[in-house]
Amino acid sequence: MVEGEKDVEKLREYGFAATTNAGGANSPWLPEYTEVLRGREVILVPDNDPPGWRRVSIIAKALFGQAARIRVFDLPTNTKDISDWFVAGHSECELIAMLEGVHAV
Amino acid sequence: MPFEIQTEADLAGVEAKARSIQSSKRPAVLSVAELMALEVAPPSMLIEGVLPASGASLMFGAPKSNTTLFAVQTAIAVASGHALLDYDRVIKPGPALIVEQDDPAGAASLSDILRRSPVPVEGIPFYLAPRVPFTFGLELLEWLEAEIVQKALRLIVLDSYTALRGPRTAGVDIVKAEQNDLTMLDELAKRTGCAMEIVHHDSKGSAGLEWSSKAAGTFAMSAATGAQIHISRFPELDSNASERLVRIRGRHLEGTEMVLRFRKDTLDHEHVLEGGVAPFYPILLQLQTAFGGDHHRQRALLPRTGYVALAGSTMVGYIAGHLTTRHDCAGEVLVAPEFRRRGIASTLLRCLADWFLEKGASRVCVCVDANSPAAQPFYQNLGASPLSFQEVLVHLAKHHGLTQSRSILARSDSSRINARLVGIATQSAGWMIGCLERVADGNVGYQGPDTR
Repeated sequence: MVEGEKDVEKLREYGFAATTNAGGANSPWLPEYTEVLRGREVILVPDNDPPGWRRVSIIAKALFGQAARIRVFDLPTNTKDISDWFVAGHSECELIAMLEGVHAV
Repeated sequence: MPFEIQTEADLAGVEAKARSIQSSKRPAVLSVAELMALEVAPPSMLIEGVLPASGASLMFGAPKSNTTLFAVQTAIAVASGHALLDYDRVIKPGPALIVEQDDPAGAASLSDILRRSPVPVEGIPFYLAPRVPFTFGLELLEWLEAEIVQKALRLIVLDSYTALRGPRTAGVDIVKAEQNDLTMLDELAKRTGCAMEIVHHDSKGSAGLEWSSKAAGTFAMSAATGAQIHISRFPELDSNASERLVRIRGRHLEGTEMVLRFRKDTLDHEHVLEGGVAPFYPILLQLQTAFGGDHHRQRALLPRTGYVALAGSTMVGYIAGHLTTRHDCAGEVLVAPEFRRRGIASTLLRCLADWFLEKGASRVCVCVDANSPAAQPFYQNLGASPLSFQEVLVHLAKHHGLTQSRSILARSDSSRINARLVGIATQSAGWMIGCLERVADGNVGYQGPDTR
């Protein structure tokens, strides 16, 4: 779950199943979105700015106890979003490896 | 690094991160030196004095005030390179696109406008999109951008904001939403160097507001656009009158006011006059009547005369008079409010009285606005006594003054005052009285001392 269509397209290019919600970071998270993701493994990728993190915090709360598993991909400082992360030279294999190695905070 | 949310504490961690993360966008603060070093591109115009070359402009007016027609006329001017209204120069002629969402019969009416256009339109790069399947949003923007690039558009007319606006969901901040709509259009237009005219309507109940606040919706409507063009009728003229008042104001634009006249045959407007005097066009019409042939048709006699008071090149007052068969003479006098109480009106009247005496008149009839607290004492001090109510012609003056009438001097031909200045009657500190003479053929305009 990323923020914005551009990032969705970028992840789909690399073969990931990616989606976003309409209206940008400040639009409300609707109960029907939670329904779609019920019982699924979800990886949230916040844009690295206050609205991006506020959004992910809201989505995480909504999905908590509903999705099978919730992970958050915390982008390095100075990386705006996942597209930016790929532009910085990272690869999809690296992303998968990082997510596989994920552990609880 | 990725982490997993398994407990309430993990959730709280994300919330804390959301609170603590600093925006990477820091506001820039510039010093005087940095400000001075900025390269500021001079604002460029698409149509001189009317429309900026890039960015969004709001074109709005009351229903039936020909807002759309005027927008179409600007598009024809831009596409053909022919001066708008035969008057305002098109600086950067080029392709123009009209998005007609408002009028279901848009294509038919536009076809009619083009067929009747006095400007040759054959082969000009003028395009119409009758009904687009979008409302404001990314799709519309992307489509517009593709059209701008593909057709090298100089101007897009969006008719109208209301028709292109999507439904608003409950709880949406309308100021933000409108600002957002207009800002995105403005940004697109600026980025692509294209001008965008957004047609909109006055809000109901805006009668008492200053014209630039009349646009329906919130203040964001005009705040988010580079220029505002407002079209209205003259409430003083009857409802069939074809004249329209156009007022233009913009960020990098010298404000302009002009009077246009709608032409039924050619479905367009002609330029009548321009300048600060435009809002006072109904008064000008009365002045014109005083010098024209229609005033007191049955009773007015020739010759007629008039005097104007000038402060520099500005007309600050006038008087017009003629002999009549009913009373011996009639006169009308008007002095701009800020020039009153300096003896201008009485001097004007004295000049006219001298002329009356010379013509052998024995009584002078003046028209007094019954609502003007100053008018009656003024005339009574000069020895006038009120006629019966039926005899008194209550008109003119009202509470308006003729101000900033530079345009009368500069462009008397278009204001069609069929008179010319034949001499200076008297002068005083800061102002002087010139004598007008009616011109029979009607084509020679009044000429001020600075244009002779």
